[in-house]
Amino acid sequence: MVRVNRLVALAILLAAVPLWQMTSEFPGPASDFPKVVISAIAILAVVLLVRSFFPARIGRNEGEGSHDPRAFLRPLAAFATTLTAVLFMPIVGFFPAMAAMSAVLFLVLDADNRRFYTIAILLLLVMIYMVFVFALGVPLLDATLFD
Amino acid sequence: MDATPFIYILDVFTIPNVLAIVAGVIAGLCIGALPGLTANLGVALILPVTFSMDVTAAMLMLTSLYTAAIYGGAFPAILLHTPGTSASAATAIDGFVLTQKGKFNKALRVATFSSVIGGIMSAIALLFVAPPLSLISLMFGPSEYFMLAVFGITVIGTLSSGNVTKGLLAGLLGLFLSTIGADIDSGYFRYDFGTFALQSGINFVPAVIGLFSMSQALLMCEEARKSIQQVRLKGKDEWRFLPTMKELRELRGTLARSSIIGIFIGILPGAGGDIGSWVSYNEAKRFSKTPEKFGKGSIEGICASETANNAVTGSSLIPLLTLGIPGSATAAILLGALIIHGLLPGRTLFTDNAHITYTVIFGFLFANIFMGIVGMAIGRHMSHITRLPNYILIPMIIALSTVGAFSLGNDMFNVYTMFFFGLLGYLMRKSGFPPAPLILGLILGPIAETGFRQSLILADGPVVLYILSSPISLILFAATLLSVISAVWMEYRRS
Repeated sequence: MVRVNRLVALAILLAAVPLWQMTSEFPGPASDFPKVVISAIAILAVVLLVRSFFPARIGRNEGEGSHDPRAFLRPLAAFATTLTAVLFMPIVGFFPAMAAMSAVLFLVLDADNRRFYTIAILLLLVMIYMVFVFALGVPLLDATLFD
Repeated sequence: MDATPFIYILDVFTIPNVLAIVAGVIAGLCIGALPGLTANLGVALILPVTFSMDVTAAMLMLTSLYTAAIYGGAFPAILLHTPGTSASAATAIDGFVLTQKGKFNKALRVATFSSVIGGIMSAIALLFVAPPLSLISLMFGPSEYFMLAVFGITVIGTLSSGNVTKGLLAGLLGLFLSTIGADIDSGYFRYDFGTFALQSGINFVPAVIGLFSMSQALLMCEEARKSIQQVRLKGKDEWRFLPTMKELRELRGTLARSSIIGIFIGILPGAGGDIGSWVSYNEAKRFSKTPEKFGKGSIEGICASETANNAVTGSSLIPLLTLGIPGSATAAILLGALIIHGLLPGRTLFTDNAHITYTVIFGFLFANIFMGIVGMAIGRHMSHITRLPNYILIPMIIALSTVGAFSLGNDMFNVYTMFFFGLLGYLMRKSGFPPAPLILGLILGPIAETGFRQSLILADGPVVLYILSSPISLILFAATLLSVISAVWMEYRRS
């Protein structure tokens, strides 16, 4: 976590420089508040950076979930799957994209009960249709692939 | 006699309002009963459903869901030794011991009765404390509003994380994100990076859904096959709807004490149900005639934890409705919901919009009673819901988050925003940055900036001196300083 804190602090400080420069383009008082906030962020990032050199002074409760770097793989794979489905959603439509995403997630999540999973996803999609499309009138995306 | 309160009570029982309460309670019970799913996640997911609803019904649904989710956490805590929410962690200690002894019905009815009493007491506190407290908001000018926003973000930042620096950084990041988009005075587009969609700023709703729901789904992916093993409920424990007179006599002191503790902790900005339940549990043990029973199936222990965590729910709305400072992370999302529905915290909620506010408060009271009835009816069977494996819950959360973000203006950019904040929230939570201060910063950012800029114009000299020239600002500044110093001191002691 010490290394993560150091990296985060450095990333914040690096990002603060161009953001500060951008505020100089803002007209008059529009730059005042962002400047105050960026300054405060930079000061706290320096504190985080300095403290990362004193590991004994770092508080507990540092992060949720597993600390094993391999634990990132499945969430990132799930995120990539979901993002891909969302990007294709305007082309293939909401429900086909969600169905395809669920099918890939079955593999990504290493699920073991295919029948239970399929029934749950079908019920979910029906519920979304009933609540959002039928009751709330949300026009979920239709496929434009063949238009 | 003034008949107005009766009109508000009657308004609770209109069909849309009752349906909203029923839906909120059932959704809250299910979400609370699922370990890993929190009240924050529930409110964030349901928020888009309320857009097309009447504001009273919408707030009733959200507040009912909040209180029911906190109570719902008691089911897996008692039946499976796995708290559904962090606020029920103390309940698991004695609740599961009773289940092992075959007295799960006793544990469930004590938890239910205590949650209902805690919820009702907090609703009563909300009813009587909030209106006079809202008068303070009339004394607020630009500098006070600026300091209030700083105080709110600081308190949530220091309390919601074990690391003060990270909590404050998260709050400041929220404040910075709130500056994206058109400037309030000049109309100049700040940090839009040439993107048209960013010119109207970052929408709060997809950010909330991403930070609380999507990030939770990603965290759950780490243990995708995890599900809780069912504990065989054995024994012939008699089912009763209400506690026996003997149990009530044993619990009356704890009920009163824990209600007061929960209400007090709920009013403190940033201190949620988990702090309330632990403080109350420790106090109940200290005052108990049989402290040796704690940890071995004490009903006083269950009562203390459950009364306090539900007493927090209503009282956390007191600073929210009166000053716009949420008492918990869930209340921070409710603040956003209020603003989306066109209501601003402060005195006007109790004058111009009194009809809505009081109907919601009375409805919240009714929701707590209804929650108890439903809870006792289905409590024993909730163990089936709690055993849903993560790989079923993950696609559900992702799909509902996606459709929820899209339904806000039927705009795909909101979905992309939700995904951005989902990944950001996941990385923040992995590296110990709490998401709640970020959301509060995003919500309070415009209030803070307006107050700051008006103070700059009004100040005849250094703006800091102008801001601190007001007694209220000075008190808020002292409270801000105190919260930071105490949090740093506690962190130093821990390390």
